[in-house]
Amino acid sequence: MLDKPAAPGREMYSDYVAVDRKALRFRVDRAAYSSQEVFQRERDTIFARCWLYLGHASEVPKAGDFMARNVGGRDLIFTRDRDGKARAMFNACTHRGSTLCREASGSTKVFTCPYHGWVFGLDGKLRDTAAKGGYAPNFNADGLYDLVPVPRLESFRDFFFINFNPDAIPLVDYLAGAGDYLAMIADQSAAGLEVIAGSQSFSCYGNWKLLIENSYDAYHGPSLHASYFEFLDNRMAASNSAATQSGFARGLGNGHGAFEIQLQSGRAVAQWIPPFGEEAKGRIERVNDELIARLGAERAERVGQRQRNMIIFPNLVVNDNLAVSIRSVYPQSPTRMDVRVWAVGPADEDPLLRKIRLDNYLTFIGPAGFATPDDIEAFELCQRGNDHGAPGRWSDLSKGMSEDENLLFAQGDFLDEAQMRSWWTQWDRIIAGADSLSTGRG
Amino acid sequence: MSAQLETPRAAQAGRAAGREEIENFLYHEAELLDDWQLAAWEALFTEDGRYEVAPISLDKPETLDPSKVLFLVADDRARLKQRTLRLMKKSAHAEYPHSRTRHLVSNIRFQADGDEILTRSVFVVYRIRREEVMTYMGQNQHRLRRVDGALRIVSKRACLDLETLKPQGTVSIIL
Repeated sequence: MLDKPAAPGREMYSDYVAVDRKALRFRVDRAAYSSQEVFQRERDTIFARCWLYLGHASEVPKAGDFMARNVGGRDLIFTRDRDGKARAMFNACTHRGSTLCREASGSTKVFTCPYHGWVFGLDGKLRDTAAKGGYAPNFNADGLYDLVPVPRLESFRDFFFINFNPDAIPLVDYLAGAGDYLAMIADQSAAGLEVIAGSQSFSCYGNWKLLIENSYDAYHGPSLHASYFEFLDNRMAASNSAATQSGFARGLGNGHGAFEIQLQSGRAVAQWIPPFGEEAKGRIERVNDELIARLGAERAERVGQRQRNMIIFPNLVVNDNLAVSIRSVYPQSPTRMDVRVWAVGPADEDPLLRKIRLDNYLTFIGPAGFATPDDIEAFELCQRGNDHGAPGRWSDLSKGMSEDENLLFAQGDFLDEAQMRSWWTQWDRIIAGADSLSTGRG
Repeated sequence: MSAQLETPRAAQAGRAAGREEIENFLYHEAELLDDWQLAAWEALFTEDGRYEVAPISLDKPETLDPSKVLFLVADDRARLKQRTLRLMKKSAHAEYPHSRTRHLVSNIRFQADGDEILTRSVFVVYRIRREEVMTYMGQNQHRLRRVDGALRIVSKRACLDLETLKPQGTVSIIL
């Protein structure tokens, strides 16, 4: 996919990432977490050229359903037109640029601008200017005043992504190996998935990339989340859950990456543990039987019993662990991030299993969980150190590195940092303009 | 419950628990939280007690069911205890060292519901941490029951007025 090779004798394209294969060191310049220049360059390259998560099909199930959502710093409308076609348009009236849709979600026949009353159809066509006269007869014959569609909108297994680059490579190619991991989530239900009401938005101190690293960093689990594992041990009447984990981490191409583990912490799909209660046991077994019948024993074991945390480059966190959660993270400034979190589950989930899913989710994840606040504390401390004169130029991501590692597809133990090296390798290429992610190499 | 408040029925409950006792109870709860006396706070709950923080992105949070939509907190008694135990550990990093907090309770209304008392009160909670002040505001709904002569919390649901947790980030304290 590369548009150009690195400079002679160099592996990386920018000065922000340094690889030393002999010393087995992979390091990132801490300026990448705080500089205004990097913030701007990310806006112009990463968020302008990568596929960004917009929403799930279940959020706009019927014609006229809409969501107003900020993606990559731009206000968008995600809707379904009269023909049932999903659409993504900029949420701005073409007359004076006013924000058009002010509700976060709803159902409508048209979008009406509050200012001069311009009316747009679900397909974005300008229907009415609310003017008795004054416009040329062919004023909008060329569609100049129709709502502006986002250049690209594509979906994979009901997950919708947009791209602001009209020449972007297709979503399915972009997803590379991450597609199969997303499919493992979609495969959890024959009836499809749905976003569960109650999405969470928060902001915190810290560069957005600190949350990316944190979200699939299993290494920090036993230390940072000691109090969570104590809770789990207590709940399971077992000892040392943290030590029983096993698994791997890998880069999945194009900067995506994941770790995958086995851990007896219970899943509504489809791992029963005693704290779920006897009533749930048979229901989870039936979910598991259905998985085996539909997917085969091997795939069903992976889909239902294992847990994985994935990053779809650049900023989509897909955590399929105690429950399924999806997060997007954007930089608000070099040192502050905006985070949005959604819970996802089977559309036809049994009410008891849905309750267990939400309970399991709350225990760990979310702004008042037993773990996420401590994650936020950790990256706030990283940012604070960075902004308060921590000596040394580099952050280290070397764990598990090998001399001949293929960085975009790095592999290692789940406690290694291979997946993060894959991410930073892609980040380096994109901000340096080495990979435009375009079909026309534009 | 607005129109029904302190009607003759509530006055009956008023004999069971008067305004002064209810106010004192809520102020006492706030004080325990500000003093980080979490074991004592937890002991205010009945055996079947629940503590919840409703979603902030949905309408009518007082009517929502935590088994159907995603709450910020939906603790049964067992998890409530785990929450308080965790928050007293040094390894609960988001609250180590403990934030300073100030829980203000106001606009208290109440009514009887059988043997129990429903109260609705407005709260403002300040959290002070690393030189920053964060504010949480909203409405608390308590269901109180008299056990062995003393009021106990059957359920407490905090409904934040916030639209997002920007800039608060977390709800790592108890509201």
